[in-house]
Amino acid sequence: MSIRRCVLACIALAIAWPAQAGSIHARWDAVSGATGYRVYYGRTAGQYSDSVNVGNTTSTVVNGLADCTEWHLAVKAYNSVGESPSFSNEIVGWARPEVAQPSPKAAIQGSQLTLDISGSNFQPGADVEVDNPNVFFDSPTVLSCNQIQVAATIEPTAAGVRPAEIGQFTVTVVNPDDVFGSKSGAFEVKVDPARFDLDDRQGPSRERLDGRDTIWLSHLFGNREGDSGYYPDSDFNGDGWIDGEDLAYLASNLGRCWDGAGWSVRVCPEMIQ
Amino acid sequence: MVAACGGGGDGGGDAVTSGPSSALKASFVAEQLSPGSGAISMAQYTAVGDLVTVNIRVTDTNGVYGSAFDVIYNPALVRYEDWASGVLLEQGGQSPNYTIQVPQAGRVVVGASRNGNVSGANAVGTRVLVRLVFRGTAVGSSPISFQAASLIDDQFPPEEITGTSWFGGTLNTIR
Repeated sequence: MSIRRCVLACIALAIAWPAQAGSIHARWDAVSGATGYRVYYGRTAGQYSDSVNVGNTTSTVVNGLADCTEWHLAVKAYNSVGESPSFSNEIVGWARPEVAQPSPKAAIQGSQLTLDISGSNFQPGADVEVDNPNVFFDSPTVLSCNQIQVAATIEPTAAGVRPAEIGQFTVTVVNPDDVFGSKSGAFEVKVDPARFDLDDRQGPSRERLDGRDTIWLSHLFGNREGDSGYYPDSDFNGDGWIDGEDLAYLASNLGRCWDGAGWSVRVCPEMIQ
Repeated sequence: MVAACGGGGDGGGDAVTSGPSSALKASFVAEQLSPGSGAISMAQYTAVGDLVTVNIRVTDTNGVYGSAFDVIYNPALVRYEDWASGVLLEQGGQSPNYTIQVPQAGRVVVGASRNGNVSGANAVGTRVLVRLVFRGTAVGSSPISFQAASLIDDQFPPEEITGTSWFGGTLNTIR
């Protein structure tokens, strides 16, 4: 039985990869009569310096690839008669992007900053994403295959704007060929305590957290994003729900005054100290 | 119902304990025994040994959504212990939010309100808003007074109900 053809279909996704050596995940169409496949790869088109027998499967992850360089892969099928005389079509690409760590690793709601993301296999034109719909990464600039800079906006940057949810989020770098790499928990959004003073009118309540603020929030209690009673300014943790978690921020700071960075009783006016 | 109470804060709060702690006897004398319309006043509810429960009451006022106030006392003579819900804000089967905290000794910060987009409660006669429990810790008399106090209507944004008068009292502790 002869094997006539082996078609390499596309590049798909992989979840894990070695920290110091890149990987490419490839899959291909099955060939009738084949009992296994061998993946060939190298740095020059049509000249494959290495190969790996992957057995009778139609996908594999090739590991140990040098970062930031182009790799060429092709596949041959085999059976008891021998190996297919011809290669599949060739795919070309870098190893999957690896996201090491953004710097800074965290930012508070309402901030706008430049984020430096280190890692490897970042191609010119790569994009950066984060799985928080109210955190925006714009104008990505690939400084090298190991560093990308993005302008980060952590909402709310104005009153009435839906806040970014607090917590730790996944950062993903997507190369122009749609191959991407992610790091979960890479970027943290922290609550902006300056937002807690809902009732900031003049008088003793100004820049002080007291019962007026809790009453304000109680009016909106139980409203979710999309409800007419949902006021984003009262959704401190940005989870889209004005609830007990938001009230807890007030409760834990009740009777304290704003010192420019946080809530403290020491800076309250003398009459309410 | 969501509530926070007890010690904490960077000013050093009061510890929360329970039960009579000594041979001291405490009682509360109200500043206003016959509160009129629009009055928010304190009155003794119970006195057991050194523990006194003080009712915070609202008299003849309509449309009360909540109230925000501080209660000030002499921490050398009195300690705040606990709170209990009243009846006014529960009107109509509501589950109010009581947020009560002691940011520093000698001050209780209270926010008590109905919950969600509902109408205010009507205080017909005198109705209890919330109860605060104090302990007399040393022989003497300590004024118990309101500060930064407001009664809030059911509009949003919340507005203060005008024409209110606030009356505290004195907590006396003897041996």
